[in-house]
Amino acid sequence: MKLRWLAAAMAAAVVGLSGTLAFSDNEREGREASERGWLAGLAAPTGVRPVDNPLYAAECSSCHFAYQPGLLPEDSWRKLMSNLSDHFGENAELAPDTQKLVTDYLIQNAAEQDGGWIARDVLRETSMSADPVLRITETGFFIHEHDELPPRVWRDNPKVGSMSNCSACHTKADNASFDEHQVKIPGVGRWED
Amino acid sequence: MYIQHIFSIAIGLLAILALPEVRADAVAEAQASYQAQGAGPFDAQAGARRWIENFTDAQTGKQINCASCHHQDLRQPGQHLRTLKPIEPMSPAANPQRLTDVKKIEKWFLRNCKGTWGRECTPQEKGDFLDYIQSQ
Repeated sequence: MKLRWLAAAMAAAVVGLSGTLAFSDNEREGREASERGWLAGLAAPTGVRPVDNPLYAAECSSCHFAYQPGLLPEDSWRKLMSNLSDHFGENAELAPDTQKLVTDYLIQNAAEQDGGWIARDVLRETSMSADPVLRITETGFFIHEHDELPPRVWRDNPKVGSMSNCSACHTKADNASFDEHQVKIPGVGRWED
Repeated sequence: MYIQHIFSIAIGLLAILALPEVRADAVAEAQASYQAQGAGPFDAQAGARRWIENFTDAQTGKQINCASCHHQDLRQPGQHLRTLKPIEPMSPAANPQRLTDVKKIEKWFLRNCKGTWGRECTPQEKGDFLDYIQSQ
């Protein structure tokens, strides 16, 4: 009985504390944070913030995984979004108003704005290249995390096919969680190195 | 609580029941605009032939057509050629959401005609495709 009270008190303290943190962060970041919602002031516990824009999700995930904006720097998103008629060989043209809204979302939530450890690592590596990196799979961070994987488990695996297919193996990728313990490669199983 | 549930179920049911009508409207609206551009009458058979007409993909050099991503049987789900993402069936009978939104129809005609054929589809071709897809 005593233990239960203790646990309840601790839980209340944690909730109270995180509430305070969120509040002070929001205050500090002011308008910018309130535009992005109250969660924006806190770094994502998964390392990168989840997608929270239905327009972006709908427009971009018709064809591919809805990559979290924090996985690329602003300049990358800007360049990528300015050439949608040749989007890695595909035509992905959007109506001008939609293109503007999606671009704004990506830039406002790019790696520079994300605060998570994955976003910071992406940024550290990409800041060294002269031209904006257009493929998440070509960022130093991504290569470092995936370079031990033999092609048979991804490229030659008909259920995966490409490194761009995040959710094929990262079972919680839709929640922006890329934790290695949640990796399950189709036909291969769990993968930890 | 119960009233809210009943209400949302009722709205959901209405939406499903209304879809065929929305679809007929969307297709009619799109085809009327093609006719205004001099196209018509439309022919589902011509759409069916075009569906599997091969073009050379500029990037890979492979022969591709509509069915490469959308399946030759429109009631079956397809798969994106590059990303391998599943694509819901094109047939309205298998996927009631299809052909219910003119903006969406035009967006995907623009993208996919350019992406697959290397040019925009003509109003005639688009009208034929709509008849074909609707008939499946």
